[in-house]
Formats: sequence, C-alpha cells, structure tokens
Amino acid sequence: MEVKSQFHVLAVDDSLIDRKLIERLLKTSSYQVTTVDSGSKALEFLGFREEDEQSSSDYPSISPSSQRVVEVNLIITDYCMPGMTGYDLLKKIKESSSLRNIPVVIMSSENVPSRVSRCLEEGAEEFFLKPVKLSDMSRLRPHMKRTKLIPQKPEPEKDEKQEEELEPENKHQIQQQSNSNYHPQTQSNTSNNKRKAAVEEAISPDITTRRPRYSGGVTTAV
Amino acid sequence: MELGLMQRRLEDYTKSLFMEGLLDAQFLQLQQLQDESNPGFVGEVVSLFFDDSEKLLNELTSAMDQQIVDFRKVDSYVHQFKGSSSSIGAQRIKNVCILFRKYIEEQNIEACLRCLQQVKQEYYHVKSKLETLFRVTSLLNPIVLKENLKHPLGTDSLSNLCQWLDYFANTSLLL
Repeated sequence: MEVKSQFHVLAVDDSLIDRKLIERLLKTSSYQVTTVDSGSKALEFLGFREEDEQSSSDYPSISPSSQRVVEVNLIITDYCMPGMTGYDLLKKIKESSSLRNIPVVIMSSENVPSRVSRCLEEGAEEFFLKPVKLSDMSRLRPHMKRTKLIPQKPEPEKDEKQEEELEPENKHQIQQQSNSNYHPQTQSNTSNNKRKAAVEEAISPDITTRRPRYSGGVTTAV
Repeated sequence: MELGLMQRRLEDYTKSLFMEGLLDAQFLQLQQLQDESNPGFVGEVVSLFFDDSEKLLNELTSAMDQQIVDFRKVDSYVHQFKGSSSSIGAQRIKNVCILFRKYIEEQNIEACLRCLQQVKQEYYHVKSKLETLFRVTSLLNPIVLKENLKHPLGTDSLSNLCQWLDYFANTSLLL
C-alpha cells in the first residue's frame, strides 16, 4: 500500500553519519526527506535568492508559475557547521519573506544554555540535543501541521489519513547529492508506528521539559 | 547444534559490549532503526564511522605532530570525532574526546598526546569488537545458515561457529 507522504523535511548537517541517521529517523517517522551538507546548499534548495527572494528555475521539472521549487514543511539543521552555521541559516530563513514560515529545528551536540536561548529567540521551534532519538521525532509533527493551509483538526498520530489541501504538493524529488536517496514510501505506516510506539516504550525517555533541553545524558543500557 | 544456543551466545556477546561501557544506548537506537526494509542500516552506519574515523585519526596525528600545534584545528577534529562516536553509541571514544577537548583548551600538549594515544586505543578496541559482532551476526543470518546446512561439511561449520562464539563470549568477559 503506497501512502502519500504529507510532510517533507529538509535536513542539514555537514556530518555524513549524522545525515544518514537523521534521514533514517525521519523516514521511519514517515516523512519525506532531503538531506544537504551545508547551509548554503539548503538555501539553494529552498530557492532562496538574496536579491529578490524569488526562486530560480534551475531545476528541470518546475512549472514556471511556482515560486518555491519544492514544498518543505520543516527544516532541521545542525548548529555547528563550517561556513554557515545552523544559527546563520536560521537567521537567513527568518529574515526571508518567502521562507520565514517554515519551522526550523536546531540540533546540537553541545548543551549550551545561551546557544539554546539564542536559537529559540531567533525563531527556532525546537532545540534537539544530539544524538537525536526516535522519540524526538514526535516533537516535529505539531510544527509541520501548522504550515498546512487549512485549519487542522486534531488527529491521532497513528493514522495518517490524507488531508485535503488547497494547493497540490509538488512531488518532484530533487537529488541534491547521492546520499539523499529518496524511496517512495512503500512500508506501511502501521508497522512504522507500532514499532515507533514500541521503541518509545522500551526506551525510558529522559524527557522532563524539552524547551530548553538541558537533559540528554546517555545512559549505558544492558 | 542448537541455533537458539548460538543466538543466546551472540546476545551475551553483545550485552558484554554494553556492560563494558564500549557501547551505550545510542547503539540500541541504531538497532531499532534497522528493519526488513533497511536490514543493513547498522552495518552501513558503523562502516561509515570506521571510514570517517580513520581519516580523522590521521588528520589528528598529523596536526599534533606539527612543530607549532594548531589547537583550533585539533579541536575541530576532536569535536567531529566526539560527534560521530556519540552518534553511533561508541561511549568510551566519546568520553576520551570530551577529556581531550579540555586539554586542548588548556593547550596542554603532553596531555593531548596522551589523549590521542588513548582515543586511538579505544577506537581500535571498539572497531575490533564491532567487526566480530557483524561477522558472527551475518553467519547466523538464516539464509547463510541454511546454505551451510546444505553443504556436506555443514555440521562442522556450525560446531566451529559455536566454538568461535564461545571464545569471544569468554574473552570479552575476561577484560
């Protein structure tokens, strides 16, 4: 059974291992994923143009009338990256009239309170401590739902019913690099969600309050 | 030879890696992300980690070997190594990296060199353990096992496998 995926996440991280991890985490949670290795590539993918903030039609399968190339429902980015940091990327996105409505989540291996508050103040929705876990994925959906054009009815997370949309989602998958391999979702959502629920039960979450996230010590499991 | 016994031995071996603190809960996360649709996930990530780490360790060694050590560069490498080891659950490597960064901050070259030595040791240690784990796991793969059983020397292979598992289960407990 092929389920039409609703949400597309752009993941930005300069570490190959972390890109692979976040991609798997997101796909397991039934999101479409595109990964890029830098902030500048992220902006390029988003069709960001400093001068006029209009996307260019460099990509072949784009209809001339669409402003943005592909609909992106959330951006999750590493904080520490060479060149443009995750914070710089966040700022650019929030300063852009075309991109500012896309929710941004920051990931960081370092638990620095001032960093956390700076990012949240700049408009980041969440601050995840690395390594990101499966249980963190459930925190993404509320932010993505807000970006849909029609008011959302609350619905259980397990049932991915197709929502009505005013605009068709652009289904074109653009390969930014060889490792952003996208496969159409062929696995059933129920098995994903069952496993996810089982995983969340098995792992005792050290979730107290996540905003700001100061916890995140990893315990050795036996 | 009992398949169940072999699987239990493999589980014991895996458990010992956690008990020794070589691996932490993040490794379990990786395992949970592996399924029928992505059967090679853990192996792929770990393999990436090995490639990445070899490069990092070479760069680190070279950077520490300079007449004038560029601590900013060294810190960048250690930060990366800390990140990648943390992402796969290689706890001991991660912990050495944390210490390493402290000494980098202090610009304590002697201590840094000791940390470099230690981080290499920890890396090769966990690498060897994980390679064993994957080798044995793949041998226990039902398809491979079935093939082994078809072969006239199938029983021998199985008993060898058991001995191997015994050996590794015991050696890890001696550490």
